[in-house]
Parts: sequence; C-alpha cells; structure tokens
Amino acid sequence: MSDMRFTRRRFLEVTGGLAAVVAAPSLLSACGGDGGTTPTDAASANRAVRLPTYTPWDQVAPDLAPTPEGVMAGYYSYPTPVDAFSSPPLAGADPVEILTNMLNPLPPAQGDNAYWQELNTRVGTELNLTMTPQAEYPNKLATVFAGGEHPDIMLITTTLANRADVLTRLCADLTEYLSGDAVNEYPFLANIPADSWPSMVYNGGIYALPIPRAAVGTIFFSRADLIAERSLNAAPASYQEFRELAEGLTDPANNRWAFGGGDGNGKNVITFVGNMLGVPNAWREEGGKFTSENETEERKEAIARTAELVQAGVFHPDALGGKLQERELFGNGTLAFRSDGYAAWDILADTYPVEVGAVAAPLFDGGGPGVVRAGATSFGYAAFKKNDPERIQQLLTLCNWLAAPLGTSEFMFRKFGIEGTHYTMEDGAPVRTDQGNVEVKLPLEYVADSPHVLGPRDRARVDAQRAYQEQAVPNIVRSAAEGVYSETSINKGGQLTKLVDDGALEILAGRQPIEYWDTVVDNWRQQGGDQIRGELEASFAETR
Amino acid sequence: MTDTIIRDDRRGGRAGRPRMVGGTPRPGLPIRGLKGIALLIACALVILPFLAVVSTSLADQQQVTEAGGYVLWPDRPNLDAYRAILSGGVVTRALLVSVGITLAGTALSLTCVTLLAYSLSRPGSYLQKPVLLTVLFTLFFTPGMIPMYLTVRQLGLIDSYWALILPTMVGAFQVIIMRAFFQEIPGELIDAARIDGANELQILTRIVLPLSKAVMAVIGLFNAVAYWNAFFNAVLYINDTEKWPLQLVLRTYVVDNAALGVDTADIAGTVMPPSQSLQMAILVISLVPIALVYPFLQRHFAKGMLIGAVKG
Repeated sequence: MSDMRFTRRRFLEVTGGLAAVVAAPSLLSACGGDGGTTPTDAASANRAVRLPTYTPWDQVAPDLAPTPEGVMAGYYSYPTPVDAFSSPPLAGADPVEILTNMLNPLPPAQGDNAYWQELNTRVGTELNLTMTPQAEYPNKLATVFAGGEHPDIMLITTTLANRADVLTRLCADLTEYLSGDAVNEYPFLANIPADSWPSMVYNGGIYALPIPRAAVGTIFFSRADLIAERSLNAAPASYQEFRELAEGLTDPANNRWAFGGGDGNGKNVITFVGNMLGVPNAWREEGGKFTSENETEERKEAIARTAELVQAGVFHPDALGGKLQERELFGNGTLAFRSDGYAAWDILADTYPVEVGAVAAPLFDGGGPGVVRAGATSFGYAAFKKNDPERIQQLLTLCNWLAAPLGTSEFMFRKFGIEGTHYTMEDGAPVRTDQGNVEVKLPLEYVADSPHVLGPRDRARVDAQRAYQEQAVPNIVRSAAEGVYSETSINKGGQLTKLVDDGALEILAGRQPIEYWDTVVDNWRQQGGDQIRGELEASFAETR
Repeated sequence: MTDTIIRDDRRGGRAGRPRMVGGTPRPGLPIRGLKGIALLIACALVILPFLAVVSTSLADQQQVTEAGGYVLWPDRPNLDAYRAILSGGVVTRALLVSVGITLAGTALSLTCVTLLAYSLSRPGSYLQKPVLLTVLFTLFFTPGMIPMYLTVRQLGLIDSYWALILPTMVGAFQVIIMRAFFQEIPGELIDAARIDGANELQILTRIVLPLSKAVMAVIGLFNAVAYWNAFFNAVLYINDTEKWPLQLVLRTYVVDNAALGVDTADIAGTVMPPSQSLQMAILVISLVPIALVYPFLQRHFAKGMLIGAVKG
C-alpha cells in the first residue's frame, strides 16, 4: 500500500514537472533579458517613431507611374536594365544565415545549383537559406526560437503568437538605420511605400523590414468573356443589378453557376455584398470606440442578402461546406466569379484561355461605388538577430540589394537568373530555360523584395488592371486596428474568425435563420471579441 | 477453405440437397445478382478515385480545365507533370533518402522493439517493472514539439539522418502489442529449449521469432509506412535541404500549388503543368513504393491483426 502511494506521488511529481516544462512559454525562456514593457508604454512610444521617408527610385521610369494612394506602377515591356551596384555589396562579409518560408517547389541545394552559386558571387558572401514549406513555417519558427540559435535574418509571419515580444526582445532595433531620412542610405528600402512601414513599429522602434504588398488586396474576378457572350451588364451599379448579373450567368442545365463558396463558407460573397453596404474592414473607430465588422447591422444584412443569393440558386451546388477546385472551375466556365488575391489576375489569365475581368462593388442601392477592403500591406516581417551595428548594416545592405526593383540588372538576376543559362530574351521578355525553371526557385522574395508592379505584360491586360486599381484605390478602407496592437487578436484571431465564419455558413446553408447571427456575435464577444476591442481601444487612446 | 466449399458443393449437387456454401444454403440467382452489383459498386468506389488520380496526373491542362479538376481517362496522355517533378534531381535524391531512412529505420525499429518486448515478456527479467512503466509513460504523456526539438538539438542530431530515425524508433504501442504476442507463446516451448541448453538469445532467435512472423510483419509494416510518410521531423530537424525526405520535398509542390496566386504571380508567365496534374503525380510517386511492398506483406498483415482476437 505504502509502495503504491509512493508510486502515485512520484508519478504526479514527474508528470507535473513535465507538464510545467511543456507549458512554460518557451519563447520567453529563450529570450533572456528583461526588455518587456506594458502595452501602454509601447503605444506611447510608437507615437515618437519617424517612419522611413518614401523616396521612389526613379532611374527607370515605369510606363504608368505609381500613385501615392497605392495604385501600382505598370510596365508594358521590360525596361533595359541598369546596374544599380558596381561591386558585390557584401564582399568579405561573414556568411549570412537566413530563415524563411517557401511557396515554390524545393530548388537544388547550393552545391548543385548554379543560380545559388552565382547569387553568392554577386552578393559577395554565402547566403545560407533555411527554407520551410509555408504550412509548417510557424512550427519551425517556434522551435528555432526555443533553441535559441537565431539566424541573421528571419521571416516573422503575421500569425506568430506573441509577435511584439518576439520582435522587441529577440530582434534588432533598426530605428537608427531606417527612421526618417536615414533610410536613404538604402535607396531600395526607401523605395518601399510608406503604407507598408507602420506595422513594423513596436515598442517605439522599427523592428523589421516589410515585404510590401499592394493596397488593392483581394479582387472579385469575373469571366468577362461569359458576361459579354450573354450581353449582360459587366459593371453592376447596385445590388439588384449584381443579382441580375449573377442570375444571368447561372444556367444549372449546363452546369454554369455564378459563385463558388471560397473556402466553403461563402465568405467571398458575404464580403463583396458587405462592400456594397459599407461594412468596415475588420474594425471601425469612432471617437475612440472600436466596432467590429461582425457587430454592424450592415454585416448582418450582407449575410442575409447572401443567404438570399444561395436560395436563388446562383451558387454552385457544392459551394457551401466543401472545397471546390475553384481555379479550374473558373477556367472552364463552371464558375463565373472568383475572389482571389490581386496577383491571381495574371495567373488566371495566363493559365486559362479566357478573358479575366474584375467587378467593383457598387453602393447597395446604387448611386456610386462601394468600398474596397485594403489588403495587408506586408507579407510578413523580415527581422534581424541582435548584433553589432556593423553586422546590422551589412544585413541592411543585403536587403537593399534584394529589394532592387524592375529596371535593374539585380532584379533580372534575382527573378530569372543568368541570361543564357536560366533564361533567354524573346521578343523583349525573359523566357525561362529548363535549368531556370528548376534552379531559380530560392524564396528570396520572402527575405526582402521590391514593391509589386503591374506587368510587364501586353498593354491591354496592364491597362485593364490599372483601370481597375484607379477606380478601386480611392474607395479603399483600412482597418482602424492597423498599427494598433492587440495581443489577443494575434493569439486568438484565427479561432474567432472560424467561429463567425462557421456561424455565417449555418445561415447561408439555411440551417439557421438570420437571427442566429446575434447569438454568433454574442459568442464572439464572450470568447475574445470584447477583449480585443478593449486592447485596441486602450492602445488607440495612447497613440492619440 | 476453398477446397471444402467445392467438395460441399459437389456432394450437395449429387445428392440433390440444397447447395451449401460454407455451411449455409446457397442463395438464389437474384440475390446473388444483387450481391454481385453491390460488390461491383464497392469495387468501383475503390478503383475510380485511384484511376482518377493516375489519369489526372497524365492529363494536360486543357482537359483538366474542361473536367473541372479530375479526369477519368486522359485523352492526350503525357508525362509533363512527372517530368516537371523529376527534373533537376531534387526529387530523385529525396527518394533515395526516403528509401534509406525507411529501410534503416524499419530494421532498427524492429530490432529494438523485438528485444525490448521480449525482455518485458519474460517473467523475472531485470528491472522489468520500471522499464515497462517507462514505456507506458511515453504512451500516455507524449512530449511536445519543442521539448523534442530541444532534446534532438542537445544530442547534436540537427541535420543528421539519425534525427529522422531515433526519436520515433521505439513505439510504446508496438512494444505492448509485441509483448502481448510473446506472452502467448506457450512457456513449455521455452522451458524445453532451456532444458536443451539454449540461452536467452538462442531462445529468441530459434524459438520465439520463427513463431512470430505475423506480428513482425505487422510491426514492420507499421514502421515502414510511418517512416515513409514522415515529414514533420524533417521540417524541424533538417535544415540542409539535400537531406530532406521525399514527403517533405513533395510537400513543397503541394503547398506551392495550393498557395500560388494568393501571394505572388510568376512574372515570367512560365507555363507550369496543370497544378492538379502535378499534385496527382506527386500522389502517385509517393504511393508506388508502398503499393509495391504491401502485397508481399498483406498475408501476414491480415493474419497478424486477427491474432489474439479470439482467445481459446
């Protein structure tokens, strides 16, 4: 008996001890130091930071200049590249360890990869990239932090928990090198639009480089050819006209439908209808009070109207609850609309022999354009390990080199490799060779990159894309939570999003009446929504 | 079994009694027809998806687009998807790595699990209870990702192939299955061997193992499939992409194709084989080796799973 008690007690001791080890915030134990600050300190400090001055690089002029509001530059053809650097920027420096994610197939390792070897030669030192498939990247990052062996440059993803702590405690403060005019030392970092910088600021310092993305975000693509074929109105001026367009494109007998379900929850259409109703982009702020899009009457209305569209039979029968091969179905005409990132325009138009168009949301009752949700202005955070100033400057020089834009020979090498080996110029545009297809796949664009541009493609496509952006960008709404920090939002955001998406799906699928939405929103508030609001409001008040 | 049925049948036919199948009367034609149809449907449910996978991997973009994702029969079969995956030698190298890890890992796992299970199955072996408790402990309290990583790192196994084998080498569940199996081997056999002068190792190799082929096959296959399919260990422990196993390399194709366009377009406008074909080709490549091995082990596998199900 006594033996058994002893065993049980020992057992609890051992397991309890283990549980404590597992539960311990490994990040914090790995950080060391005591650089922690309360959110209040951080917010007031954030006010003081001067963001890097935006100085567009102008040695090669695009065919269509970018606008300060965020309309992307456009190119009809590849400009004759100029050499932006006269010598390898990191000549003689120590090798650089880089950790980043990848969205491309794995390229051959350094020893078998002529492109990688040439890259090292041109940079002047060895770039040791540790690549991880994007889906596994958060886990990789967590273990690397726990292990305490940080690479020189690491990509911090937007979903990483405790992001503020990670950046401010583990990563180098770049403020003195980048703030204000200091960034001019690195002209291609100064070429990154001002929009992308605010979210790099934590605890009163600039802690990372953005990987810039255009403000235009998600686009509601349409099959322009199908719309023309049926002589329908490609630019609906109200919800009613939009619904007529969708109904006109639906033909169940021939397996033609207006919409798929996006991720299977119909959020693609809810958001688009919401844009007609002026639903805020995530959060709205009025007099210091924050309102979530979920709590607005407009959002509820958007769900009700979308449920109506489901009832009207303009959704693909398998759209809700499942996951369709939407790209293929858009390509073969089964679906007439698809909501996708702005980069998908070229992919869809290049992959399928179809004419891709874009629909802008009108006001619900007509009389003008609806709103456009701004996209995330940065793919992630490229942060540096804490180090001596000389090393930090080397790394910034490297990122400056990696951010050389279209029009430089550095850009052409980065994206296409060595001319003659990895690509050849045909009709003024680079065409990859087999070797190029295999080797030029290093995920350098997730270390540092120049702002995206439209094209270079044929004039008609670039003009269509540009026209859409010129129309959309003035109506862009940003989230009031941009640049305001909420820990709960980062740590629980995914879970809360799922909660509201699942709730909306219940209504769209007809399993619950629209009144159910109120219950969903109550749940959302209790499970973290109110907490996020509180944190945002507190943080916002401090920055005023 | 088959013999018995035929004999029963023949006898039944001669004597004019109802035809018997396995001890029950043989059903009439309609019932047999319905059963046949049901079986056909069941077979189709298994075969069609597989056929779609292979066909889609061979189809071109136009057909994949027309079909909206999956193709049942390729009109213009081509190997572009396979060529795209196998060019550059990355996948072939990873294939070799995976085969090596699977063979070495399975052999090591089998050896260690067998030795451990045998010692735990014999009454009176040294430190039996604490060792068994330790094994059981790992079954109920699995370490998290970060403790595992830290352990592997402390052992200096980062970027070593051993990191893909050692952490999963001994599975507690497998030890328990095998121990239970060994315990069912009659003690008299072992006593007899001991009287004949055999030592423990000889008893294990000459008496116990020959009687345990079924459970060895089951555990071996479990391990082989697990090693073959594992990719997450490599994500965490292997930074050198030359040492990546096949599943992780193939994953970069799947992830790429799933996410492409959410982020950046390839500005050169390179026409890749249809993403769906690529993904299906990846499925085929990762399936083939297991599919080749499985038939040879299946006999033992079915037998092994039933062992201990009905205890006499």
